[in-house]
Amino acid sequence: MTTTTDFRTPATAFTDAVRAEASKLWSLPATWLVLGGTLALTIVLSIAFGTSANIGPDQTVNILDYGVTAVTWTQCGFFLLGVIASTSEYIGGQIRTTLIAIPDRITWRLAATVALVPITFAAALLIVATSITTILLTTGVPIAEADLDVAARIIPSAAGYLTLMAVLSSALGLLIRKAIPAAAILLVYLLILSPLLQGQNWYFLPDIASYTLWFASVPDTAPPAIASWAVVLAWTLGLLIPSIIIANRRDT
Amino acid sequence: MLTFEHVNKRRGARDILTDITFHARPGRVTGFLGPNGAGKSSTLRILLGLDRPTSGQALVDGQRFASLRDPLRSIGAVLDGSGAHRSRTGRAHLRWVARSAGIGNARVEELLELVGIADAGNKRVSTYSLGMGRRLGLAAALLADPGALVFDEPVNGLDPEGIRWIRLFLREQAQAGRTVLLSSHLMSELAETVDDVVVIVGGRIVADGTLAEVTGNHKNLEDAFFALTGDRGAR
Repeated sequence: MTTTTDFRTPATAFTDAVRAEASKLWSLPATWLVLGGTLALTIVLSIAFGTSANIGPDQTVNILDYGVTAVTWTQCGFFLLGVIASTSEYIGGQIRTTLIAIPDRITWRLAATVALVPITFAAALLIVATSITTILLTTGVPIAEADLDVAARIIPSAAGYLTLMAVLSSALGLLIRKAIPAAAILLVYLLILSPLLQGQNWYFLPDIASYTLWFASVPDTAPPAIASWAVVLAWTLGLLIPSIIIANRRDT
Repeated sequence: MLTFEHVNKRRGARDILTDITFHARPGRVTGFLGPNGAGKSSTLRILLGLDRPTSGQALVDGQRFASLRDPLRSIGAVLDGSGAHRSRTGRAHLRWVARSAGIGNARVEELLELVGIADAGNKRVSTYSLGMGRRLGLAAALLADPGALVFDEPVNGLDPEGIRWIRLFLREQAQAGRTVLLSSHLMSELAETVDDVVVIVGGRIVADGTLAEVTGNHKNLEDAFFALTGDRGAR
């Protein structure tokens, strides 16, 4: 039997909280279903885009732009991952176990966010790289013809954007506490509203701003990369911070 | 020691809890009795930081639960259900809880054996019976060998063997010096287990004392309870 004496330093307690949150994500079947489904759909869409692409000597479109086109659709998977990461707390009464294990709610949410980032970033790197590789294989374009410097910029940029969107989605899921409404809001935006707004150059929207970061061809009207990152980060923090404040105040 | 000091809770226009004040002491089993909807679970949730009191405070050895850096070593709690995500396995659930307290996987295996669900450790929680879910919740509560145990309706969903097991278990925990606080609406189950009794009705404490003090001149705890609550069941 132990007493209430504090054994752990704050740093150790936070590290343990991050490990617990990572363990939760890792052991949730939905995490792997969503990531596996996103990878599979990215490959299928890339094959479809690659076989219908008109690649020839007079082709002006950068092959890398074809390479990431599938991800503009399958980014939905990363939004779903974020929603599942937070709303799964409210299934089976797990939220009570979580808050008894990690009662400081700010520590809990920061730990959950820190745990989500590396898993999402690694998966995003894999999926974006797979998307580009699939296009190269499908179109028969040799890798030597692809601009590897540009590829080295757009793959981590896309992974960074997708990771921030998973964090944003997790924050929205925490605010709403139900997976279906949170996912519906995000999917309606991504699959219906955003495509309609593509011609507007509304770079204050996170996905439209991000396309200037992870497409090889950037429009002349696009803001500088630092401004695009600021937009994506502002949207993420704009949902993350209120979600932590509200989670810290409300009854479970 | 678990301490409730003038705890009030209001939701909307309704007072859920009014001036809740009592202690649960080390080495004793304290029964927190009341009919359904009396405010037992709300009181325990405030102790565990799940809900916030409108005023007053609930303390664990003089500290708010949310301020504890090693909460699982202070209190093990079993509330309703398993407290686990239904698609995760029982073993995976205990492992993440253990990691939150810096505890290794060997302890998880010990607890799976102790509560009797080792064979089901790799099965998803959705396949567990009610009783198995309660045992999983108990295993999570005991992972860090806490100084106090808090149970909300601990015998709900348990078969007679399970009820007997939990009753003996709770007595052993108190004899080992732990503070044990359990809520129930089942008087007969509690009478054989508790040292102290706190009765709550309509969000207010109506009796607080040892089992003998609360039973008083009544035949048993059940009769005393119905006399205190003014229920039609009084005889």
